[in-house]
Amino acid sequence: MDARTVVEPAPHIQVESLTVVYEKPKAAGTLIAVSNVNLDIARGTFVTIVGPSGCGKSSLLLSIAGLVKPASGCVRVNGKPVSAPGRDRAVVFQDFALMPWRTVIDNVRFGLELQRPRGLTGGDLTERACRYVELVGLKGFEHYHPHQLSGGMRQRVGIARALAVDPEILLLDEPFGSLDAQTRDEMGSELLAIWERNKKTALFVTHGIDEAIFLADQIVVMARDPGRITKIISVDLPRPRTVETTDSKRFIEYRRQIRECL
Amino acid sequence: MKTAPALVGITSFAVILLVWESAVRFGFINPFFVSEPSAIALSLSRAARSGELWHNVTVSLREFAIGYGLSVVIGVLAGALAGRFRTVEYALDPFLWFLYSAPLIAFYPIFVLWFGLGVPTVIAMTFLLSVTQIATSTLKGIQSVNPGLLRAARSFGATDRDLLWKVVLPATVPMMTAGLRLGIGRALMGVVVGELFGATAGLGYSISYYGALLKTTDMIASLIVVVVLGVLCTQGLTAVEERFDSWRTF
Repeated sequence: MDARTVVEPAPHIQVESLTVVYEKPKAAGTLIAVSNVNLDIARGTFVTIVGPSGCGKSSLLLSIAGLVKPASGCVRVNGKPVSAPGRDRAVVFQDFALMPWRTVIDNVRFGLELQRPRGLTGGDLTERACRYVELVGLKGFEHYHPHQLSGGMRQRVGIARALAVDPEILLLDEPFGSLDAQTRDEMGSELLAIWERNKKTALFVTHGIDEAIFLADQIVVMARDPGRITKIISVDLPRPRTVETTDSKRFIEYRRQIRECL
Repeated sequence: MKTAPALVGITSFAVILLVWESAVRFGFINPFFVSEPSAIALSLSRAARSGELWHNVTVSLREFAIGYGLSVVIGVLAGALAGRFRTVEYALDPFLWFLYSAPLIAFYPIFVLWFGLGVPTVIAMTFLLSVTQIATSTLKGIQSVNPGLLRAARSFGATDRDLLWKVVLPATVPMMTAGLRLGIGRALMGVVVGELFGATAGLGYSISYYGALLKTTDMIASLIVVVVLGVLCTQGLTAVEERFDSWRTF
């Protein structure tokens, strides 16, 4: 066999010299949020992006989602350039972004309604939404409205909504950022448990170092002014990971490494 | 001990009626100025039996329905367009601002000049008084849609039409219905004011007619009918509001 044909499979997501620029409000010039970033993400890996506020980590994620237009450079998914949101990607937002007038089940159904996978009736969509409500542990809360739920439960809805459309790539933008520490750890473990089932490619933005290590196969460390990648660390910790993982020597070593870069 | 709000309300209402009635009966107050509840009830039943009440109510309600209906259609449309297009908003802004702060009753004479005395002028008054409230509430409702929800919908591939039907409209409904509810009160004001001066039938006409004849009892009877109509219309819309708005019970 020709040696060249057995090279690594093409990355699932390719970010090529991506630059994202925002207009500052009130015409005070522009803000370079992401500057010339290159990043390859392999299929089925869990990648976390960690860095201080304003380092462009969310902008990077939203560009991959197709919600932010790059000033230059491009994002490719499966080799194809991204210009808009697509069925292959789903986003979980920091502020949950649930429709307050929809119940839990209808919020989970929301993405499905918009995408209407072929050959599925309204009943099929509800049934599928039901399965995902159960998957995130909200059975019994189907008919609650978001304001009746705790922050952690709301984000479970957000995760179920994203998973329900069965995307190839899960993009999570500081999903646990507004939750208390204990709920955050719990949600992290549960997210991993769900992810282990089918190992979708996952990109998870956070400013929590421990969270970044605990979840990741690979950690992308970013710095600000301008937003750029300073280091990529491969995490070699056995899965499934538990609370004990965070006490291991290696975990502490990763923590030290990341601190140094920040 | 727990007391039901409705019970307390009814009791206080009954007490006032009783005080009113006895104050007149025992000669503390001259009935010429305030009439008395029993006489008003008699007047109402007389008007109901003669068909006068029904006639006045239908005339007023028709004017209300047309004027308020126009307000709803035009107000919602204008508010929605202003919410969608900045240019429309800027173009409408001075008018809304003006209509909001001007004493609109002052327009009455010029409407008489344009439409003559009678139903069209009443309808114009009704429309003018209620349309601003509805347009501004719709506009404010659309502007207050959380951009995060729009972004989330777009992340799932929502088209512009999806955004309108699945995000913007449902998010706007609570504020819009609040505007519709406030608009009812203002529209009724338009009906009554319009009829006070230049009509030949209707509840406002009946108030000013009996007022001119110094028939206090019949005048207050018509006044009560107007109040009851206002309460009924507002209650009706509140019921609709609660149906659409159950998620807003914070």
